[in-house]
Amino acid sequence: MNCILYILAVDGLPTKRSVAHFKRCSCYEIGDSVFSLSELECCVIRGRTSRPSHIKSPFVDAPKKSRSYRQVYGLGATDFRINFILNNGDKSYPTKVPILTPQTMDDKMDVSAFLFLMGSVKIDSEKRTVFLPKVCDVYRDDFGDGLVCLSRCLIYLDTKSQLAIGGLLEGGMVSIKFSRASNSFHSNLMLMDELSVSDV
Amino acid sequence: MSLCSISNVYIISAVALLILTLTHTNIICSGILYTNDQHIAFYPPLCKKPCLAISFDEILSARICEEEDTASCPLPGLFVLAIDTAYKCHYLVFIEVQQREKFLQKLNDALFHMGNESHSRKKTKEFESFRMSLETSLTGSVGKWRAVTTGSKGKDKKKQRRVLNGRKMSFDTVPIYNKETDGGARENNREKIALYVENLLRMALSFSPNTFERATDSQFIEFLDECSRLRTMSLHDIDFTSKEAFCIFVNLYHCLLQHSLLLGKKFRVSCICCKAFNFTHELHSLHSSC
Repeated sequence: MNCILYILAVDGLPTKRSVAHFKRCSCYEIGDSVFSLSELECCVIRGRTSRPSHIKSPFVDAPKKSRSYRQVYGLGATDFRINFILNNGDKSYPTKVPILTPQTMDDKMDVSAFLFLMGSVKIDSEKRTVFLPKVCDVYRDDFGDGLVCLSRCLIYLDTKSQLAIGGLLEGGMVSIKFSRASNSFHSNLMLMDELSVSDV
Repeated sequence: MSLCSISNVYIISAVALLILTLTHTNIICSGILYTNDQHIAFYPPLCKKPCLAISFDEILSARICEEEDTASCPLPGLFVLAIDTAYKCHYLVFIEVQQREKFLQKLNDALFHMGNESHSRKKTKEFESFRMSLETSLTGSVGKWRAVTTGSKGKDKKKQRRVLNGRKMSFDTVPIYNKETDGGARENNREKIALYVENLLRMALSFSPNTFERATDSQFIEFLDECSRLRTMSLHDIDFTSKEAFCIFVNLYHCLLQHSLLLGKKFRVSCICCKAFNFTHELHSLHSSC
């Protein structure tokens, strides 16, 4: 039985301990270069966005030697919704990912932000606390300080949640905390249904 | 393509062996031993142990890479034969076309008669230990890409990268766009890349653990071959400031994530089925020890 547990830990889906190996070693060769998951995320897609702070599993930064390639391959995008659309495989993210095209990109980013935040924002009315997803803490410079961050997330919540948070804000101090990531991973991703903002 | 990027080419010639040893590439220069123990084993010069053994039951097909298809072949003027296995295509390069024809004929005959021959189980087991593991077939030869650190802070653990789209070499795949004919139209090339990546992600997302177990190997191999086409594109054709580039790389990121998660599942299944532990000098598979 111990053998089985050993093998599952070493060879199966990523775990809290193996996620750095998973994200830094799984690569595609593109043209004459090679990109791992962490390099695609941190050096290319997040090329011009803020650097992560106090990064912990399941978030993984690119290896130090690759970080200089941000200047070469970094995309121009600085939109904070990047944090919601990039699925890192952790179970705190939705299973479904969209296929982006330039024509539908904005719409799909809004839908992804809505689906992600609806699943991860929690409101504790008694303790006057709102729990935001961990990604808002790790990439805090993309969002701004507590209330600015909350207001940016607020627009992607449903009316009921918006009213609940609005009520807390009117009543005085609101505490903002960040949920912990689950550190267990999806076994696969699925295609997001063709939804538009009006549908959600 | 430079010679340094070659990882799974074998040369059947002493002359070529001399040339390529001098270039310090990853090419495995070898004599070839064609055994009757249902394996093809490759021996590096002056070595008693094979550097690689491909068992006949791994081989899906053996095919000739036509000269016109190999315009970008790193070894022009030589004759290429591909041996396809599920996760890797191995390329044999012959000096003379007749040698290639003869080898292919013998291999096809052996594959055809594979089921009928009785063979020494003991010898086969010896060769089994030289078979390329799933991990090795994904990692490729050591040295092509620099290892990456995976440890945190003080723990400087270096691991080899696992290139998941390395089944076919770029000269053996259909390019995403033809650089010679579409050379001037970069806009057109960008559209083709974007469309290709969208389709690749759609294909990747069609697999799930349930369907993946049942999916025929051919469906997954088709996906691996599609991924190999990424090696033919040039990053210079992408405008990194455009919306299109953002879509391409986000789609590619999710495709790689899905691919890695699926292989994680595959590793787990194959490990449970195949890994064996030596208890009291007797091999027990995990199935039997459960």
